[in-house]
Amino acid sequence: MDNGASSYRRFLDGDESAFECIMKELFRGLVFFIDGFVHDTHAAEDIAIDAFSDLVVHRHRYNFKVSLKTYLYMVGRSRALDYIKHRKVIDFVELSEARAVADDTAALEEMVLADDRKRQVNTAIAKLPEDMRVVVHLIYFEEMTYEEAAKVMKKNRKQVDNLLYRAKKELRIILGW
Amino acid sequence: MRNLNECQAEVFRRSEKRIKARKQRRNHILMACIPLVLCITLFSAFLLPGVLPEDAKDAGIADGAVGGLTENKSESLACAYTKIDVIGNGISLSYTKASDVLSISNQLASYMVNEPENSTSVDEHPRGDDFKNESAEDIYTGTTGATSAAGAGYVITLTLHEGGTIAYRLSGNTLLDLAENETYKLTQAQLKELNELLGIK
Repeated sequence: MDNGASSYRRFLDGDESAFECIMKELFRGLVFFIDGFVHDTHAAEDIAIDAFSDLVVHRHRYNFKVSLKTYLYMVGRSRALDYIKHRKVIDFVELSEARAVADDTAALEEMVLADDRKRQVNTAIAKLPEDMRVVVHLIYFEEMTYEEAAKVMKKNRKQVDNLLYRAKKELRIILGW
Repeated sequence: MRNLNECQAEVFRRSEKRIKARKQRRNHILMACIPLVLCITLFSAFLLPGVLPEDAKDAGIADGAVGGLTENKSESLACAYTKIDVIGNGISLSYTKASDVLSISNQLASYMVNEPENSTSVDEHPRGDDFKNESAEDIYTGTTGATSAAGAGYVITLTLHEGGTIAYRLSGNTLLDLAENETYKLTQAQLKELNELLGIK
């Protein structure tokens, strides 16, 4: 599995249906990942759409040196951080709307994390600091290598290693395992 | 939450919008660049030559210079002269008026520029040949070829601002550059003109 790189190559060669494969394979995961930053499913979806639209607009920006998934997660993370930076006003929403958002988040979690145990871990990692949460998410949920996770997080391998070690320690305490 | 197909449609819709915006931006930049390039071209074609100093403009002509002086160079040299002295045959004249100095030095410089047609080097031509027809011209100077060769005629000394001098000897129709040791044969008209300028008719 090349995480969408071959599909993207086909898309560049003019096969529009290949983009659908990429979307199916990576879109929900990316939305879920971005939601971890912005804590808003709709905004996360919006950012993910922008990240995918980058693939269409800047067709030769992705150079196939990393997997397409890593590239998309890098773009997604940077766009999410940008969104957080520029979100100056705290939006006040209706209670019913807030409930709908919470439902969407739960539905998304259910879609991405089929395993009960994984969902349990996901609830626990929400209590971790951001860097630890992201590293656990990328390694355990997205099954990325340490190198790929380091690329997405703009850190080196050693930093990822340390973060993961500390995150595991914290998780053991939270989950009581 | 939208379904996957809706999201994909949204991706393509946004992509098209962004591509269109990029094209528009590119066109705007081009539209701004064309007049800018035109302005730069016009500026360099019409205004720059006027702004540049004379020496820089005519650097290329220096290759075709005769006797180490071009017309423009000699013009600029002319401005550097402060005084012209004419001594010989019992007269001693001195010109310090800027217009006189300029016209005499310009006249001398013009002979140097025309050197290939009517001047010869002393080394290339024996003095006897040079002054073969000199007696015919002596109506202006009252000297003979023999006396010219011996140093008679007029010595024209141009004094520079810095204090240095450039000297010529006018013997009959022959103008001798004492520094370069080159002679310039003047035509009747040129000689008459020079004599009038120098006031030695």
